[in-house]
Amino acid sequence: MSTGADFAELFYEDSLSHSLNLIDRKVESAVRGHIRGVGIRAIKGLHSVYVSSCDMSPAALITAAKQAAVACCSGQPAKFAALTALKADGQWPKIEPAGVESAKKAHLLRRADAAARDYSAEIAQVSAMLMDKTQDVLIANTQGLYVEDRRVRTRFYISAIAADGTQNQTGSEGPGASCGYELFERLDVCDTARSAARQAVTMLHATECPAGVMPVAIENGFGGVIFHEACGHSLESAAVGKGNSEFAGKLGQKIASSKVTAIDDGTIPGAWGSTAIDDEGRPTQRTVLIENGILKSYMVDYLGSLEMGLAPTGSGRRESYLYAPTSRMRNTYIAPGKDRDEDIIASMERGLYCKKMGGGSVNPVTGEFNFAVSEGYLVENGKIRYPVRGASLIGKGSQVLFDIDMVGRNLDHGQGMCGAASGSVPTNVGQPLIRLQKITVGGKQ
Amino acid sequence: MDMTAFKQAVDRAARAAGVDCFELYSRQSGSMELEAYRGAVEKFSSSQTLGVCLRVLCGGRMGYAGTQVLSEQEAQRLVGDAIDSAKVAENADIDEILPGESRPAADSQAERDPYPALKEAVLAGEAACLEGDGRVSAVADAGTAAAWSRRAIYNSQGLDVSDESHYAYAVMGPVVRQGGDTYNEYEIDYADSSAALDTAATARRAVESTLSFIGSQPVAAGSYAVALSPKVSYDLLETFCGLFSGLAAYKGLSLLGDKVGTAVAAACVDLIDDPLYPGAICRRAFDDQGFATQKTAVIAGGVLATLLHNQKTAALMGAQNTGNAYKGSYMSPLTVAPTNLYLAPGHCTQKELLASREELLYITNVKGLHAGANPTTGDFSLESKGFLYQNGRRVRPVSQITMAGNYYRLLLDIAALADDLTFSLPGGAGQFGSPTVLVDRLSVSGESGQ
Repeated sequence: MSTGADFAELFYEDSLSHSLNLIDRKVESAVRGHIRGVGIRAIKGLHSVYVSSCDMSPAALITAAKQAAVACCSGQPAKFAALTALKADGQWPKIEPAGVESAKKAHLLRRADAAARDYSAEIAQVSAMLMDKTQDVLIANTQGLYVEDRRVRTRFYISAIAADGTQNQTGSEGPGASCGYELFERLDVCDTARSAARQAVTMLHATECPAGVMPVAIENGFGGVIFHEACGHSLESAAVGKGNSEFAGKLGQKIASSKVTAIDDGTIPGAWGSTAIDDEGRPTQRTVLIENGILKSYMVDYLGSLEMGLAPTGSGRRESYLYAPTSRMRNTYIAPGKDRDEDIIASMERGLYCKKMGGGSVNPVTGEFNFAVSEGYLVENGKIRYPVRGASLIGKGSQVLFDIDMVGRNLDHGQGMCGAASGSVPTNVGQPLIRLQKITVGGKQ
Repeated sequence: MDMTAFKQAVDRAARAAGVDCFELYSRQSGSMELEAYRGAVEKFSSSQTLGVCLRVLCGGRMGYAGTQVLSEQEAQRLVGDAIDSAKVAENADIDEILPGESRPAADSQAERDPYPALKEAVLAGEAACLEGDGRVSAVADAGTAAAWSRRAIYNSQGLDVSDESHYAYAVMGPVVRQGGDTYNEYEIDYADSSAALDTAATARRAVESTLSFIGSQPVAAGSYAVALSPKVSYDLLETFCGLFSGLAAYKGLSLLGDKVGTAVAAACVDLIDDPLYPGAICRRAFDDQGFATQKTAVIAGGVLATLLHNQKTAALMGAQNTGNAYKGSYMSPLTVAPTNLYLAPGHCTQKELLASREELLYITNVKGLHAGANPTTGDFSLESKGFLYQNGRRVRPVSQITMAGNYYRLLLDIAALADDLTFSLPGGAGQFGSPTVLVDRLSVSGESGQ
């Protein structure tokens, strides 16, 4: 600060992780990891400098801070506020992952493996993973913030492979939450395993998806990845601030069909993308992005708030101390509507029903997005007919929001890892069953 | 505590715990990244990190533990965790800590302070984007970066080796708005030092590429002859390189496990992994368990010559170790990955290749490989862009289409390869390379209708 920065921030992290991998009926590896380091950020005007290191010696920290300052500033020493220590009101786990014996964790994986294989003789291989991470952070800045938080996350992932000698098909599930091993009090890993196996076997007997433009119904839960890719990234202040998003300058305007209300909520208790405070130390919040088709808010981090003159929304996130924070999604979803699921399917003369979605990507500048359908069915005359594989959906975000013409009633969420400028962060996607009146479907027929 | 002292602390703790066969793997890496906005460096970040991973052979089982904290107490914890890991693991007991020699570390060749060169390059690149054409209204992305990494492996069997890699890269993404539509394409270039970056050239190509898509439209859905640009082809190769992994084959995740010695590609296809390829920016003499690397012909004349292996997968599958042991991060268990894997160039020029069909789609860009391509099944269905060619003439730009196929099938359907071999940005263990590749039939989705 002695070199004239407007703002400086310190982010310290100490994280313990444990991951177990099972494949071929055996626990292939179990790895405990420990990461610790610090990131220092300085901001002058809209210019920012970020320096991070795992070297925690005072000399190294001061060198890092000086490096940060010299790169952005030259001027009069600036003021900073006195620090007030706070502890964030985070969710404390009932069952600390560190206290759970490795053998118990391995047993969970073996049960899941057996359940997937018992589902069908066509299941040729199963891989399963159990991951937990306890991240302790301390964030302090020159505005007087000094806050600590602990984030505990647990996730189970399973991938089943069905094979018939000439081809392989896969099915996967990856439920997770911001909690400890109490996750498995409400989650039956065998159910999850059977769901992955069912998907793989279904796809083994599926025909190639037809290519073309058609109506598409996307199921709830992970189906919400469509909003995440097609629109969510383009509503982050990092994209909007410089006018590099197709939704820049559109607050208060209609950017979606009136049936669409979309929310990004970092406060849902125990949800995969929830935290008490964001990675800039601000309390997270429930942010209504779109209400009945009208754009209400962007997702804004501190730098974005300076650039756009808007209040931060508690959306500053980062994977670890190695990354400067930026505006990111937390738990994003399309709110439930009034259409009945059966009416949505019945409305399609010829279209695609996407039961499970894979991931996708977007260029926020142009809005061009893509995502993969991992379990799809062809719909004819209002009835789900047969499974199809190898489908993908492509389009432009601004268009697809207007093409959502039916929104179902049953909201569900799915878990993902979202990769962007500040690394890979846990995010929920969600929606009820929705219908797009038309979209380009990529396939092989 | 420095690395040398930490090594000794781990050595003491391991021997005290009765573990006499172990390996300490460390990776130290650093990066510096700059972004320009309106003639000034708007974002600067630099990071450095050091991570170590202990592998112990305990009761015939391999245990792992990792840390970024170097202290006496942490050395004890690391050994305890690795032993706990070995107890729960059921990995086959042919895992090995390989013997080797001790070689002194080479002097660092990484740049001491890349900042001045990176700054000059990023500002020059942004300016070149804006000045490149009057239609460029903004630059969405103008960045330069330098990265270096040092790898060291020390084990109880006498191995003590290290190496280093470093490179710099630049990304330029101009924005053009025309007739209510926005166009934005990116170009990335790399070099072995910041000073060697030619961002003006990167910017010129990015501007040219962005402008070339003005007025782009889908084509009618159907089956097309497709030319894949080197970038598209090496991106696909990187996505599907697991098909050639001995580990994936052993686990039934690749259909090539029992295909060694048989034709798996068109006769014109040679696929080579060359860790010491002279033109590559990352070269490695030993793999991530310290085994000497080698040049491996994976596919020769369309015939699968071998899969890629580490010591364990070679033993499990009765094959030769090809020196492809790989750790994704310092903490990852050992897997298998190529080092510099490339499709060997053919004899025609790209121009000749593009003129060899009455009509073809030249695909220059695919998106969403992490989702729209399945490395286990070989299936892909990807958002794509490119140009429609008729008799070697570029007719119009094409966007908002998908290209779908299966990589196993694609290898068999390769009709020709041009002579323009190009390599990807370094990542993982090395780079991926390909020339322009002609494939006779791929499914394309675009406009409605047949």
